[in-house]
Amino acid sequence: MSATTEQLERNFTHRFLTSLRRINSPDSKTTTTHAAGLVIRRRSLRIKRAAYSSMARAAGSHRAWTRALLSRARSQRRRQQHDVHPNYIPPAQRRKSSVKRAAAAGREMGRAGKLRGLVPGGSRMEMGQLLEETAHYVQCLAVQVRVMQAVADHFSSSSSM
Amino acid sequence: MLSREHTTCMDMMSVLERQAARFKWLQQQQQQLQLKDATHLPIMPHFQGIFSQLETGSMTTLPQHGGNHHLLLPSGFEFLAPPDQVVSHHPSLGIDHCLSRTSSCHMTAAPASARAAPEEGEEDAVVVMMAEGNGGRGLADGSNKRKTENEEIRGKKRVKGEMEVESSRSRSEETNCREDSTQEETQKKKKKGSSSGDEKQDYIHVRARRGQATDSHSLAERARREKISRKMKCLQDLVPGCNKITGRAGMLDEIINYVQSLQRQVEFLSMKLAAVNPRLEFSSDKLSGKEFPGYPSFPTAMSSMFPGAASLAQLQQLAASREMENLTTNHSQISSEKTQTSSAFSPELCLDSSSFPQVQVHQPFWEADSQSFQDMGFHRYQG
Repeated sequence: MSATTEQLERNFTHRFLTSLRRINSPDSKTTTTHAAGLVIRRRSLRIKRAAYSSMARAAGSHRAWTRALLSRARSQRRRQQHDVHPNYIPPAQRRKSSVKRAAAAGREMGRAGKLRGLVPGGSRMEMGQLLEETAHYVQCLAVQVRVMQAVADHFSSSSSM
Repeated sequence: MLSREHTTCMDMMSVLERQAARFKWLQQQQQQLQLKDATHLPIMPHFQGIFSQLETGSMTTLPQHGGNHHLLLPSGFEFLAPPDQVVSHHPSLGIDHCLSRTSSCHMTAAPASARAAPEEGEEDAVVVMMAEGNGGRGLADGSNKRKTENEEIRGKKRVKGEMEVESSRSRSEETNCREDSTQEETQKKKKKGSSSGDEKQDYIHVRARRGQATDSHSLAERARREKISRKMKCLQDLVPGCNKITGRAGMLDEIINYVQSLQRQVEFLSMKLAAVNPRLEFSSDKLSGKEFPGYPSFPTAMSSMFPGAASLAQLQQLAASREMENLTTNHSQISSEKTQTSSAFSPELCLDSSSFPQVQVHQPFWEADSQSFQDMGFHRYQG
């Protein structure tokens, strides 16, 4: 248990630092002309996505939530590559997702529905699987938070020197 | 040879004795069945436990059942008739009928009954022998007895009519049992198809209770509920502060809060990293981070850039419950050793980024690391 957590932690740290470096790479140097707040917001969004997807990659694809998260990230990336607005949803997908949402709402609107909204891909799971995935997701999130905290502390302390 | 006088002179005492004998015979039969079970069905050794449980359960209910049976048929002759007659009409069905009485629909698998068919003759002979022993008869060949008895029975119209009713009733019971058995068999096959050990245990665990509904839907529902409660226990161990709470709703609330707080923390930390990283990038543009003395420190920078972040941080600190505080203290404790691991990763990152142009610019940053962690063997990567 602790060994797998450690391995997960190491794997995630590696992936996250790599993606941070990629985000820091100077291809986005034009951002200096923009407003600083917007830049930081966009950058924080990118970092957040990178953290989630690197966590999902580190956790492996045998879990439903990692698959859901990665597929969502992929679709977002595709949308960004095609230069569409990130909030734009094509009409067919929109209809499908609305149907799915209605089905999920019809099934349970209570606490389980809330949990479904929190865990990626949770809207399509039945209750037992949802709890199982939630357990794994919580474990991974705790590791993620710990590592990100450590990285942030490290960066801020080293850069303030 | 059975005659009218002997059968009519039987009183209630002899009937009770027959009940006792029948009870004993049923016990024997069950032991035989159990042995047969153990030999012929080695695939399902865990069914033995259920069988023994059911046996004890059915043994307590059995004498009453037999009593009802005998009270329905007041004369001793008619008491003798039913099992024998059933056997003569439908040999395999008769043994099934007996089985269904003894083992309460459990051992009704079709191959088992087919295997039981050869033994039915001697078992029936046991019945006849016991009954006749009570009636003060001499022992003779069971099959001959049966033939003669059947002849005598056919001679009496009224008795035969009653027996027809009895046999039809037993047949209907037997078909019910067949239906149950097919249902159970399909369930078994389903469970075998999934073929996992704990599911089998699930099945047993669910099934072993008494007085609960046994149709497939409620069984599945019970299994689902048990699975959910098991997962809940797992989650209870993972989520801090969840041990004190009893009740599923409160636990779900706590889990939701925990997941939300973790996600908020991730968001906050990504903002923090985004606020920290520009400085690194700027330091890549210029020479080092020391070139920006006027750059405000992190929290004021966050608050000046977007006030939402500061309010977020405050909200997080305010809304943080006790276990969250524990977590953050844990994080601060862990962070010291985590910097070690992250700096342990920095060499290979630098190795990866040796093709990048900014490695020279990042070098002072990592050098500061290497000063603090010289035991990492970091210098050889830089040279």
